[in-house]
Amino acid sequence: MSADRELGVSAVAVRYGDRDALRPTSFTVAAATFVALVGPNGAGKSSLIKALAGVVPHAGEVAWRGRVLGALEPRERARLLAYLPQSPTAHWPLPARELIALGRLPHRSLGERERPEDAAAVDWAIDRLDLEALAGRAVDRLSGGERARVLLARALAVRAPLLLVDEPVASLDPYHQLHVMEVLADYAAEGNVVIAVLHDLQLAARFCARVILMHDGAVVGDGSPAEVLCAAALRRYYRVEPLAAAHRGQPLVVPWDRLPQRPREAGERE
Amino acid sequence: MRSARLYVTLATLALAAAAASLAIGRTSAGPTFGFGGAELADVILLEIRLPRALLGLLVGGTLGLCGAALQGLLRNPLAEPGLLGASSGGALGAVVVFYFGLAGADSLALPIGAVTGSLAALATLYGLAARRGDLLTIILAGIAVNALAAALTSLALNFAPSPYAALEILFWMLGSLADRTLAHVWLVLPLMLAGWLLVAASARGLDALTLGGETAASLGFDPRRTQWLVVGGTALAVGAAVAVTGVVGFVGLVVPHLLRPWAGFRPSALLGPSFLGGAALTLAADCAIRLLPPGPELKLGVVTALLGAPFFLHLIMQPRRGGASAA
Repeated sequence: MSADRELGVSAVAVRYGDRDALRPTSFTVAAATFVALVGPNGAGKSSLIKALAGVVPHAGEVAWRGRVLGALEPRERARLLAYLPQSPTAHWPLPARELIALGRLPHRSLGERERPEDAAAVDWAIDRLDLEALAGRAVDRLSGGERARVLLARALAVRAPLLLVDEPVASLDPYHQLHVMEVLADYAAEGNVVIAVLHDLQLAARFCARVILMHDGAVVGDGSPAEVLCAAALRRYYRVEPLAAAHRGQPLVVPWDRLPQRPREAGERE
Repeated sequence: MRSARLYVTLATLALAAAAASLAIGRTSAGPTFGFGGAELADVILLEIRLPRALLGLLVGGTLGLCGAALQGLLRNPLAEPGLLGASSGGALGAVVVFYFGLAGADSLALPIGAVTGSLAALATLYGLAARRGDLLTIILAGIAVNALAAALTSLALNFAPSPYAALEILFWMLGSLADRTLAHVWLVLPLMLAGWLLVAASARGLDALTLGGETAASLGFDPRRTQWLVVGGTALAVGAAVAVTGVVGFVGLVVPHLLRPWAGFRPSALLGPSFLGGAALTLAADCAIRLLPPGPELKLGVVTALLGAPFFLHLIMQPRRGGASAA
């Protein structure tokens, strides 16, 4: 693995019972890259991102700068990667700022108080997502979108060089979708690797330099948005006909028509 | 500093309750008031009231601490050592020891039996409920474990060697701090200390679990490790408590619930205050019993159950705060 390849994924596979959620998958990601992980429902996107985060049992290895994450001491691994699940929860109504500060747990030892750098990381995350006004409110008193941003700030506050987020914009209004995508793109531009599961192909095409398209537990496309999100791929894997358009010189990826159900190919999963 | 004020307030309450426990007796208002001379006063103080106060402190603290930890682990304010079967399992273990006539004043058999029973109950619960982990499964599994422990306890009573032995077991199970000695204190202290240490080691893992199991794992806190620290620690400490006092219910439910807002809803910040609060409440309840008019002594476990059960009902009826999801 060359030095500029920060993340190395080799033969990672996930099985739930006797079902292959993710077939053996390998790829590398260079530093300062914002990767969109796209694909229809059930394609294995969440399984892949969970395997990268090390929160589901999986085959294969995930390495950061050549060090296998699964072999690291848990605290050390937790400082290298931050993970935001698809439906993040907060089980106790902590004030938003304290919830965000939980992202600093891997950086502190037992009984240690919040250090200046922890407070700085929390303040930075609050500032990036414009949460100052909400910082003192209990999380169960926030709207769904506000809570989603608070929980994303929790993941950002880890300041991990590998940020894995599963549908970070799903519950946000258009204004905040754009805002969160900008924050994630900026975070990647600082030298980090950001991998985001996205359903909004337009946002993926606009903000991510690299798109990984998954279908039926396997990677079926990997490259620039223009290459991966072409009309043929959308027809084949998403079964939608895109609207061909462009705005300010950028191609738009807008799913427009649903294609008729095609007969299933042999061996294809439900 | 909010947490420092909370600790000082609760520590003061617990110490005041302990002092009251030393000063109050059923048969005399103060330590003998001069009757029988200083020697008798010393005997009453050191051999009757001191063990009672110390055990109140240890048992109450244990129940409060373990209740707070279990609520944090299950992310549910309705969890309690008694509801999950830790107490009834402990009682069953102790009854088995009674039944086979192995229990002596200084014998380790009773605490070992109680801890084993408590551990078996929590392990059974864990086996039944760990995979799903939702409230309904845990409560139902707790009911099942409690029912099984109660059935086996009844079996032991049914076949008790004599009616007197059955009565002895029954009264012991009601839960009381009366007529214990310092030997009891030394017997259970090491087990409780070990249990407290295990529970305390789970503190940061409990905070991480606020965000759910997967996120906790990504923060470097394996939920399974946190679960075993809490379940093992609770079994040791509550099992030891049951071994000396019988079943004292609901302290572990009420205390963490009342203190949670004051601790800022943080599971780790709730552990210490719940220990002090549990000690204060248990000692206060035990003092209240001794202030009642003479007659057959009301058992501590009966009082906590009488006050705790309606509180539990109230919690179930009340719309709960928390459980916020972004989806």
